[in-house]
Amino acid sequence: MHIPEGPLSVSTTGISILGAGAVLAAAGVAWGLRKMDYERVPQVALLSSAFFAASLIHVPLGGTSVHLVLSGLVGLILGWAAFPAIFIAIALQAAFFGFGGFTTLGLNTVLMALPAVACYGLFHPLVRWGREGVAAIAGFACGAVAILLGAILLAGILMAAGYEFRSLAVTVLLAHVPVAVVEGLVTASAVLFLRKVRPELLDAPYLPLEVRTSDA
Amino acid sequence: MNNNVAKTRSSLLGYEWGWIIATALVLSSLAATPAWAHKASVFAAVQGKMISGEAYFRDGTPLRNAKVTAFDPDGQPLAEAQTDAQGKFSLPIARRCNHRLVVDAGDGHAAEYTVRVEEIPADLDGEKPGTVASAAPPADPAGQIDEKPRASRSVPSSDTPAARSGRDASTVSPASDAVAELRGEIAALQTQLVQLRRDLAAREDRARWSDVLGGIGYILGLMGLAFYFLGVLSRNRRNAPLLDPPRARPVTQADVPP
Repeated sequence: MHIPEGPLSVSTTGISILGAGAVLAAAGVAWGLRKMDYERVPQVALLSSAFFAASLIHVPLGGTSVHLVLSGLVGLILGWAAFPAIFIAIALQAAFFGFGGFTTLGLNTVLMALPAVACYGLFHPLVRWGREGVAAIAGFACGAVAILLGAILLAGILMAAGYEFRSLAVTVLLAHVPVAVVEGLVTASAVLFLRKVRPELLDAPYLPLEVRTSDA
Repeated sequence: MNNNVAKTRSSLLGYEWGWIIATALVLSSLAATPAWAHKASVFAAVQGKMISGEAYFRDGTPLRNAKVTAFDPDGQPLAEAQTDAQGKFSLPIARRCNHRLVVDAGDGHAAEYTVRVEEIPADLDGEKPGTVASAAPPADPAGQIDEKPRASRSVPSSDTPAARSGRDASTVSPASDAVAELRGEIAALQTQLVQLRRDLAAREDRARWSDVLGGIGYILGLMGLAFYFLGVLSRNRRNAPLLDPPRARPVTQADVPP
């Protein structure tokens, strides 16, 4: 789901998309850092590591292989703090493995963190407070929708950069459907597991900012 | 608190299938080859008068029907081709210069590879002088400077046989059998060389678990850094209002009696 540096850096629309992505990502990271308090630093780091490693682990599936993105789960647990977590993971992926690139860093962050935050807004209440079955379905939807939203964003960006829609529909949108299903299953089982074992992890985004100084 | 612990235990037993799924996923992924699937790569080499190569994802699946474009050092397109079902392609060499090959799969996957000018045989200019005359021939000063010394040194396999055969054919005819044999051997060597370089490129692309661990280490380091700054911040906040009043109080008390 990473956009490489090539296709966008040639045209002026591409460069303006890159600029807009960088600005959006900077705003999101700043806002996420504001929302992140002392107690959530390890959580952000943990999910950032999971996100960093997840796209390197491949699960063979029907002739091709898919890898997890985990954007839905990261968003669900971190809320707005998904922005800094995903930004750091993507920066390291670009540095170590050449995924994406440094000029597309902002755009790639937006591409994965924005769906994560959107899914947090959409599904977090259901996952946290719904009944068991509702939470499972919401967890599945959270994982799947995060991927599909990312794919739609990616296709939209590439279309704006001058790619043909018909080939994009197949190579980007259809290709992400199996990923979305796997992602949904993983997110659903993670959500059910967390609800039983560590429900406070799912509460974290509601913690007020002042918690860290009030007890000191 | 005790309630929580008890609840945790019972739920752990009740949710074994969650563990099972997680473990199965991790195991299956570890069993799979550690390769980067969704990163495209391209490899190319000069063979005769053509550049041929192949484009593939890092898990080994070929990049089918992708557009391959060769650019000269100025960014002008020189030639175009499309990959076949095996991800292979070949392009004509228009003139001697660095060929920057850009492969675009059409879905945002792209890769680049540069075929250096030293690889391209020196007799190419004599063969096709007029093909790309319009595309600004004196374009590549760097390439043209090291063109001559390097061509004679580093590309004996593609350069000398062709040049020698041209000379030999005109003067000595009985030796032509030996020349043909030699040429065949060189061609075989060349394919082996290409295979070797492809293996080397594939090896470089392989997953390096040390890098993964290094990345996670970076994240942990950043976490420590965040903790440090948050700690400094909260200590400052705590200390700032407490430090000032005691300092102010003795001054006022000393001032009052006289």
